[in-house]
Amino acid sequence: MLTTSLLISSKPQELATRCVHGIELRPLARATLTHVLICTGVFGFVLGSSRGVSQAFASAVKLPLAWIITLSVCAPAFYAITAVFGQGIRLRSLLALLLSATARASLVLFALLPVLWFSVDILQGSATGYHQLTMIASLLYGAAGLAGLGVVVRALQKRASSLPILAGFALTFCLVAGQTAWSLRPFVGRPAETTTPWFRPAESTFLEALMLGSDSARGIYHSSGDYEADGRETGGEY
Amino acid sequence: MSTTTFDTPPMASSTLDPTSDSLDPTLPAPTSKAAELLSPLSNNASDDMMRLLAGVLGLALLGVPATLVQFFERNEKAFRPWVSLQSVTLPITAATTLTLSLPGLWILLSVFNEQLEPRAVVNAVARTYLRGGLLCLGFTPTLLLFAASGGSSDGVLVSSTFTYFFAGTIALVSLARDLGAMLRQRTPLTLGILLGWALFTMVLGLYLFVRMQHFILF
Repeated sequence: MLTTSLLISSKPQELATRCVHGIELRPLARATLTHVLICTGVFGFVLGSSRGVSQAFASAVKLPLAWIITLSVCAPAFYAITAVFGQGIRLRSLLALLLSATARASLVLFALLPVLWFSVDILQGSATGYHQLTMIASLLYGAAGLAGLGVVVRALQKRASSLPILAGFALTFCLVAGQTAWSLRPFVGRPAETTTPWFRPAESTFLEALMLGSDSARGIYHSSGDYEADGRETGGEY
Repeated sequence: MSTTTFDTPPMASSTLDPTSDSLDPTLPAPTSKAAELLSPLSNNASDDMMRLLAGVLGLALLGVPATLVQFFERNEKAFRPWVSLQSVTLPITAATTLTLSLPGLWILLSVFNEQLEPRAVVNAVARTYLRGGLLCLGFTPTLLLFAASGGSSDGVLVSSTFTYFFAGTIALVSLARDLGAMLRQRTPLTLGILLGWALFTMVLGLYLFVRMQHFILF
């Protein structure tokens, strides 16, 4: 397990070559999937623990699920993009590559776990703790995403067509991951709520929520769906 | 079937060996079926038929997320039973766009002593259709995710439209490049004609899309 973890974390070139050439894909897929499930599950558990044990378990299940759904939805788009831009990676190689990249990102998340736990602990009870915690979790995810991207970059041939492929990958991944995470929310849970549901109803897309949240951050509150700094629903326009 | 052949990589063992020395990044990697079909090397009628079918499938499926979200919204104003025809309009629009504009390019180029090989043009068009359809097919799950998780019918419709034009533009640029490669004497005039044709086809595609969608949706 440790040697596999080392391979995933410190040998991205070897990992990428294995995937693209289709060498030992089945054990690689098994090992990377295990890493994804365990590492993101633990990260989710710590993230949700700010709202109690029930939310911790909910996030421990939902966070790995969000990764898996994102990869499943992104894979056909990635396959099409690579084929159209002249770097036809086979579907099974692509799936192994995506799993490997996600496993590397998950390992980085696991490594950053003490930062998250520390943040959860010191921000608990703070008026703006909910927003700060979600911001810190997003930053940690961003850092992990960059580590995952390192594997994908190494799998692509060094030529001009790799640039639109990478841009397409990044854009599609951000859109799909954002929407999947938004659909599976809450991961942390609003502090104003006494009980946190496992899922919220599908009410909008994450892009709409992003715009709404950006307005709220600038002090512009809309009639419904906005939350003040302490997580209380505003219930009116300010 | 004249396809390229690829070396089979050393195959799977039951456990992952991190110290495997069978890795050689300099060896050519095996290529996907889609990439093989997009390559001009496989040039026969059955492959072209497969390309066209995959293209039609991809374009037809692109209309499905918008249709589904309108159906599930149960919005009487937005949803009409015949909206499912939307799926058929995209392949028809794409086919009409090229069918109307390509013969003109052929004639114009022949006026300037550039005769394109018909078989090669058919192959290039089939690959164009596949390229567009493949991109549409690839992005359909993403649109379905948005449709199933809170996306509005307008939002999904706009996203589908954007995907259609994104895929269409990439396919058209590739077709123009392929046709340019077929020219024997690439004079500024013939290249100018090709560029003008590509721009006109883009405008024609936009016009036909609006006309066809107008016919179906409003």
